[in-house]
Amino acid sequence: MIRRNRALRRDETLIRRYLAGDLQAFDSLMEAHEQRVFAISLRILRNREEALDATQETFITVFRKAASFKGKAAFSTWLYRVAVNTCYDQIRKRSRHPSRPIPEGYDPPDRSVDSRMEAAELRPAIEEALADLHEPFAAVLILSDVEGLPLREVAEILQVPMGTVKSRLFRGRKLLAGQLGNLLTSGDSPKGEKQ
Amino acid sequence: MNENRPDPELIAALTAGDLPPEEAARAEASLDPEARAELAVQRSARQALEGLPSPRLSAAEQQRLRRRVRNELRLEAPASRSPERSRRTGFPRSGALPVLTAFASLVVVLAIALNTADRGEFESAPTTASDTDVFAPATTTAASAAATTTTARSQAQAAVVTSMVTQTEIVEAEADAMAAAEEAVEEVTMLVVTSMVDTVEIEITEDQASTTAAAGALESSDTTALPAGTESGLFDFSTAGPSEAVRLISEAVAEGSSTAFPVSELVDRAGSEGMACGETAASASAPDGVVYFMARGFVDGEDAEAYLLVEGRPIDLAAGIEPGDVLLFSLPDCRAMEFTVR
Repeated sequence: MIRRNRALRRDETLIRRYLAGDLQAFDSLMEAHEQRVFAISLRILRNREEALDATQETFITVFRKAASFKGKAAFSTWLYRVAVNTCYDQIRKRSRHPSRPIPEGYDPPDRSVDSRMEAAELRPAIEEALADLHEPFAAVLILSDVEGLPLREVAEILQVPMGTVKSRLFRGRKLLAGQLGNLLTSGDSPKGEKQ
Repeated sequence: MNENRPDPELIAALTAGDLPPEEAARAEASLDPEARAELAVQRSARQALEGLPSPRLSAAEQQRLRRRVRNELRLEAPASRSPERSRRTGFPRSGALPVLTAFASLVVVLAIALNTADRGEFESAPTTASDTDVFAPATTTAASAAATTTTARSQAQAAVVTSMVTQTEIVEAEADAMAAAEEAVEEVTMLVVTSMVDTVEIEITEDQASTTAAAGALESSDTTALPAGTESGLFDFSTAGPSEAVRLISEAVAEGSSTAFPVSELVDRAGSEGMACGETAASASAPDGVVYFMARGFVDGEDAEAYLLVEGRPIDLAAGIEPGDVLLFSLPDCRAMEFTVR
């Protein structure tokens, strides 16, 4: 919580400085958020070039509208909301089925990223299963479970009630587990519980 | 609410690790097998997702991203320059040209003056005629050459300035042209998308004439054509218009044209009706679920199956169908589709 509040204050300060003409603030804001915006975009779009375009478009939009940012929500919330909407716009423009197999080149060109993974052999299957989920389910799982954002922020990003986030999270995980099958700890079919 | 059913809030809290350790241990110990199984599913899925490595921008991608964003926002590169200062650095603009010309003229005047002074000294000093003749013209020539060079340099600088101004105008024009081209491409893309949608709709209409008639009947009060919980019914709606879908299904249920049956029979019934997603729908439900509607049709133009499946309570149409009760699956792989009533 303390780290989050510090991040909020940092972003607010950087936005003010950027609007005052401090170009270093621009770089600081980019550095603080570009990786996550890209990660979210790539998980939604599942295409590296499209994710790069969406990331670029997101930041251009946000910086152009920085003066209208009122500070009611956290800057990061607003930024990620723009990112998600930009990705959805991209998907609509595709005019084809949004779920696709992970293409080659999904991984970044340099391998300096931390590839620690408890069950590395499951990763492609998990990615596939995540890709097969419908967008609203996938978006909640990406933002909450993959990116670790609090549910309240996920609700603000997606602009849906908290109850909807919880419901989508619950059902999305169940559907994901159902598709993976081998992740179930018991042999029985998952039994649901309505929210 | 059925007391034996696992509390979804509790399962969510246990999954997220929100409870203090002792409380979590007590709560988990009190769960029945069904709730434990559900908790295991939730935890497994969450852990699997948390373990995914986060994709990262490479250094080159980072630089490219920032450069493009900066260019689009017309921001200067980082380090020393401010936007105001950058406009004053570099080659002087055309407004400075008269100053340069004047300076060049001054250099020429000084050169000539120096040359005259030199000649005077030479004239007063006794020198050989040949020396005088040689040096005087040489000095004049050097001064003239210097003046000419300076003038030429000034003219070259002026030409460069003019060229830079022209280049800037060209770049700006190109940027405008690119922006216009991008807009045109986007418009064409949207036209193509619209055309493709139209084509799909036409294909559906041409190939599925009886389907269209059935879908039309679904919207009417002709109960004989309504799905009645079997595969013979067809629907066609869009997730962008969820209220319409709910209305159609509500009507089907209210008019009694759909036969309710327990979810335990769903797999067999769906299979016998040639529907592919019965097992998926059943797996999303508790054993006490009741199926009020199931049918094949189209959602957002895709082949899909819809199930109205309510758990643990009789359906109350006056209260409205809850969003979570309607399950939509796209074919052929029974991928779940979101369905939200606003």
